[in-house]
Amino acid sequence: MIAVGLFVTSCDDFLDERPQSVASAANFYKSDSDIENAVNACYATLQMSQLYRDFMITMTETRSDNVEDQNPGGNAGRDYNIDKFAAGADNAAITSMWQYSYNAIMRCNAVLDNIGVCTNASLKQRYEGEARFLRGLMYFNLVRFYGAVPIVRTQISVSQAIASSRDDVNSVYGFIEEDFKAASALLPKQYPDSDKGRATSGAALGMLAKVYLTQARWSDCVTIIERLLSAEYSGVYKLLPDVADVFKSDNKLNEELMFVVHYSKSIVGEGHGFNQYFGNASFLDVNLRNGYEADDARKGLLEPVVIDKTTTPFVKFYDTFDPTTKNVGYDQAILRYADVLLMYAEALNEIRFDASSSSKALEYLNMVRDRSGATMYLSTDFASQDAFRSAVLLERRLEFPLEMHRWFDLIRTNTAEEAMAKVGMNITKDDYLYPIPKSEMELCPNFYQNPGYSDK
Amino acid sequence: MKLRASYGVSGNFSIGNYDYYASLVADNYVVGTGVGSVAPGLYPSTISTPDLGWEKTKMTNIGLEFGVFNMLRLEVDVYNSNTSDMLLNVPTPYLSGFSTALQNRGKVNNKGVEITLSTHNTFGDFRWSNNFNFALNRNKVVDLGDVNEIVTVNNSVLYFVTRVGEPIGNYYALVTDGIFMNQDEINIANDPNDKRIATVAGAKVGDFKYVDQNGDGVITDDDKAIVGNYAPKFTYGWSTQMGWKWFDLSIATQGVYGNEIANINRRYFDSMEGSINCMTDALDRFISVDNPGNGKTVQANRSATGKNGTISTWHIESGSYFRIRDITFGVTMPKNWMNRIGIDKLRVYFTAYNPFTFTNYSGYNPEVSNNSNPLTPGVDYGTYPVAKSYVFGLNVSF
Repeated sequence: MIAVGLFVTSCDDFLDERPQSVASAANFYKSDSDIENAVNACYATLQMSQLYRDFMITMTETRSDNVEDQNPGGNAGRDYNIDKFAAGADNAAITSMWQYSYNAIMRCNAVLDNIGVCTNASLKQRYEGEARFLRGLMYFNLVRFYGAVPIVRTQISVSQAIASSRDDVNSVYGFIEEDFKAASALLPKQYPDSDKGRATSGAALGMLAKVYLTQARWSDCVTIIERLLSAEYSGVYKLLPDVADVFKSDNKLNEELMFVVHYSKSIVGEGHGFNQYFGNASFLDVNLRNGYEADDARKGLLEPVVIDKTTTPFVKFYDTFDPTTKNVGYDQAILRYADVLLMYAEALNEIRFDASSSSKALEYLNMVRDRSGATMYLSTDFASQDAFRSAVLLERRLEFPLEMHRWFDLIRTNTAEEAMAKVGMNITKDDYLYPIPKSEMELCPNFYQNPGYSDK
Repeated sequence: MKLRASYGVSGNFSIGNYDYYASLVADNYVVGTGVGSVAPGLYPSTISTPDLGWEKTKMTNIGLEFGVFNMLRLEVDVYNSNTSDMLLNVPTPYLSGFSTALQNRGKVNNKGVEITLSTHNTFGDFRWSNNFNFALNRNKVVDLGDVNEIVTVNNSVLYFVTRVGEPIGNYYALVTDGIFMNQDEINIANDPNDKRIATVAGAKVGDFKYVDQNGDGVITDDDKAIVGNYAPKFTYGWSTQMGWKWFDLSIATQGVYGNEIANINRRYFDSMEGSINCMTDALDRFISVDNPGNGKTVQANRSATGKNGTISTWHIESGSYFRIRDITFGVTMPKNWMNRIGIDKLRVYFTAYNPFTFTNYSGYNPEVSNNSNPLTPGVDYGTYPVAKSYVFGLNVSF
């Protein structure tokens, strides 16, 4: 009898055979290089059509006054409805943005949950920094699109997912702030050429500055940007003298680009096609196209180049098709130095309006204008803080068209109603947020819908 | 006469190897200046479910066998089975990082009757045997764990609902209610105070009206209803063999009655958008107020308006059919003739496989691809047609 008892108790572990032939999460994370693979998969989400490749453009540029979708029947009205503020909680782009942002977050959490297996201390630091940077980026998009969203800190089970509820907006911003702060401390300033394109401490600081700017925490924003402008980062970033060089496909990962979605058209699976909006001037708002002075170098970036009968991309996204992969590979800027400079000008003006000709805010605003040959503003052009504020917002529009900032800038500055009215859209504050996807509402009993959308 | 009874518990082990571990798949990035180099990536593609177990089915079966010599034999089986811990790929909140998770979830009851009747008769030189079969199964979800229903999507457009008290895997779609025959109907629909006809956003005269299931005066996704199921009311079959002297004839048939098929090919063939050739339904379409067709078929439009493109009862069809699976006619040459030329046996025959199918189903084949997810059965999306074949044969043995 005793012998039988022993057998029964000893069976459990013995039978719990782990598969050796398939890579599974349970046996996978063992070494530094395993964690690096997990980190790379986090970056890979950026290239997804459901995130930066397409839907991000639809949800920030098409949503805004920059781009108009003219095809009601295309993709069953997916993009058209977003443009016309008619999209409901079952819209495919709105649903996918949520779904794949959380998929990216899960991938980041898989890195962070297993980071302990790393043996090389400096690599471990870097991997943790990269995962936290990308997780912060995903939550920053989520909170701006959907408002209060559940914070998922680790890999969770199905029942935990079902039981979750929406964390308030301040907690989400707090979490994003922690991630970017940690990333800025953990990440290197620069990489050797072979690893360029990965997240850096400067990119994390720039994103942190933008988080503060979005929350109207002006002095925090200024403090962070002054670090980027200080000797600590001297020689790392600069405004390229010619704005057209920033986007050239043979000048990728240049000193102005702080973080991009990186592609390579010559590598199978790492290139892409042209975005539907990046080649038709008629999609662009006339006020945007007419907003430039005649010899503003940025005006030319929005002119089409003919590649073939059906492909006429804007100069900004011009690239030729790789003969083998039949793909193009222009990168998508997420953060560039010009953005930091304009954020600086904006935050300084919000702290204190300076009407003098030695205004630092004016200096930084002009820095960006001057680079493209636009007439520099004089201090006498601005009668008030508000006038300067409007000038910065306009400058951001002219500097970053199709770079996925416009909608966020409009809602951040509470000017979306006014701007959208100019293109014939009457919207309300309810339209500032997208709805929580319908399928998620159905599965999570603790969720509530954003105001203005059907509760079901 | 014989009476049988049995009770058993069995497990369904159609659980994949190591399904309970999260498996990893590749998703690469590219880093570095110039052409760059691949940064190989791997991420968990399924959520880890360490407690995954077998489905368990408890089945009670009572059978009756009744025979009259060798001439007639009747078998009747009645069963009642309860499956618990069903292995279902259940939608999970996206915030988990995944869209579905394989889970042991819920209970389902199946009960049914199976009847087989076979006869063997000889009348002089004439030999005749028959086999009739009939089966009926009723399937009902008893429990789904902590939820009352699971809604699943197939091909991004077709919804299914599995709901407690209903069978597994029901089509879940809008119910069409004729078409808007004139502008007055559109005006009534668009008047928020007049709920006689529910609003269909963007609909024009000649577009579908729908049943307003929740009565809120607007047709939305919430107006979906259970509109059918791939499980038939019953199935049946008949096969017969006849022989007379040198000749033999056999016929085998099968039939299915009372099921529905989600023929989502109709999104193309029957969309009236003219992107590809349409089915003859298009002849009955709405053309004008004075020439409204059969009142059920929408107007032709290069890009559908209203909700014409949304999956509705327009895309759900009856799947009942009766098929003659094969007919064989054979002649065996008399043995004494053949022996003279040194042949032991010679038979010439002709077989027709699948020569006739009687059905109202508009697709190629009412036996549609039954994809592996039990929650989304009965989708026809490019099902292969069944081949008819005719065979002449010669059997010679020496």
